[in-house]
Amino acid sequence: MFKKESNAKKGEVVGDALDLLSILFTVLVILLFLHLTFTSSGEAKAQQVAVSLAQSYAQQELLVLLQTPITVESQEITLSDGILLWYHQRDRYGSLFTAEVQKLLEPEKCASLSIEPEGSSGIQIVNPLVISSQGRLCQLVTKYTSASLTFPNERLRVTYQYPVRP
Amino acid sequence: MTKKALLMHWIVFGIVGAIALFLVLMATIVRDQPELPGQWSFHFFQQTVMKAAADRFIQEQQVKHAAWQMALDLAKEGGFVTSPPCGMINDTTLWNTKEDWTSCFPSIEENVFSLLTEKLNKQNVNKGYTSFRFSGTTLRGTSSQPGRVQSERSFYQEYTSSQDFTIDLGYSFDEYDSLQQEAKRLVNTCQFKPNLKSCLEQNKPVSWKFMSCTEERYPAFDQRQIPFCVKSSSLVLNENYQFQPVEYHFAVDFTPGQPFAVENIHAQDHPTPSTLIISFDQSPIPVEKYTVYFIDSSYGRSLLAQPSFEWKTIPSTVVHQKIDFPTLFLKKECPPDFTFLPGGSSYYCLEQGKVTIILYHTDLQQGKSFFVLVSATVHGEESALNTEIEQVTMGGSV
Repeated sequence: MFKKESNAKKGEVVGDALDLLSILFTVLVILLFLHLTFTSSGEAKAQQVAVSLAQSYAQQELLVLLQTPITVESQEITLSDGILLWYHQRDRYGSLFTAEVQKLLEPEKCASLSIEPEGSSGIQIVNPLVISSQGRLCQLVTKYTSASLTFPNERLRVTYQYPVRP
Repeated sequence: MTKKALLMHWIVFGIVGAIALFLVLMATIVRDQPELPGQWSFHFFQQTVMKAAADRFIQEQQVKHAAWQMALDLAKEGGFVTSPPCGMINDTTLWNTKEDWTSCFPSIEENVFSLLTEKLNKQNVNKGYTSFRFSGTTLRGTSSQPGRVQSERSFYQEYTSSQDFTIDLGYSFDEYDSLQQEAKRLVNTCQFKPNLKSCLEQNKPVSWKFMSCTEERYPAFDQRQIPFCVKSSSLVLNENYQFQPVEYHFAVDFTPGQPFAVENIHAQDHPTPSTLIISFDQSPIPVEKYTVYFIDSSYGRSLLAQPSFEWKTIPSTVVHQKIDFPTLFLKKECPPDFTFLPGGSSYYCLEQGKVTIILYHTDLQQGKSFFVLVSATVHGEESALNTEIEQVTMGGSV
């Protein structure tokens, strides 16, 4: 009888200790969460600004790129016209066009230009064209943002990917 | 309530309290954090100004492609969008009639506006353009509608900008003026040349082709309104996105202000009495009639050869006659031998570019000598008749 009572008390003490531990754990998690929030909110803002800036650069550079003259078969045309020429006559202008775009993408920019049909409409390109600048430091870039533009008549989307630099 | 249940009760309260505390603190953090400087301006730039720039770029791209199509279409019609005022020859627009260029030549600026507006409307991309002006390879458009872009989130921002545009077509509509100048030079050089084909071949620029740019061929011998095809050195992208030169199709009228004087006149007497055989070169332009004049040689060659000579001033005492031969009745084949033609009537025919007239007239008396002159009449206007004077004696040629 006495032994039975002693065993029951022992079980109760173990249960209380476990409850206390879980309370302590919960409080610790909350404190950690608050700590992280306090310390990282500044960094998050800085990161957000970096992304916005990169996006803005991407938008501007894409527009400048599209209006940059390139030479195709001794004819000077803008890159945007070159894209349409390439899109409609890939067999003829494919490699020529890629080489011209490659010249425009500066290696240290670590940017890339891709062309693909918008949505499911238009001519399907099995492998959308992606031309990237390949600088030595580009491997270190981990985060990118992008700007894109759609040619409404052809429903063709041109995307310019640009690195986010903190 | 057991001790355990009481403990669990407090744990729940603790968790709820912690979450509440977290939310209160977060709100305080967010509120107390200073706003980033330039956030509104940056948002405005990114969400409206840049978007407007992208919209404008797309719009200019669409206008450029429409302008290229328009340039190709316009050149094919010789610069006209409606039926040309001076008509067409071989389905090609005439740019002049004789000396008149003003009423026949197209107004390119007006036609560019009309055709480009039509194309933009069809594609539903007309932004209320009120004028298109070109200078060199640049095309400028003026719009009456301002473009508006509104931001989509965070702030209410609206950016209003003009929708005027300036684009480089890589092709100039001024080429029409250069073509007109060249056409005028050709008219001045070749208009009065009877052999127009030879003159044009020697003087036209290499890029000018007769009738077609691919299969060049000269029109009919006596045609003085010549269709040309000229390929521009400027290439534009056509609707299939292929480089294509702008191809102009137009016709130039080389009809001279006055008919050509008849050349290579030869006259001899026919075995039949009072009959002459007169032959001369066919007129290089279509004529209504040829007129043969004969006059007693006693009148004097020097009197006839004067620039101020007029037929009606010849005194009635001198034997002289004037006989018309309308080309409507000109026979297209000549007999192999004119000697055996029946006497007492006149006959005329054309063969191998030579017109032959058998003229019978009772005034052509045997033993007498006559001067023979010939003229051609076009649209009621007669050519000079005394540039060549042929003499013949009846009963033996001179």
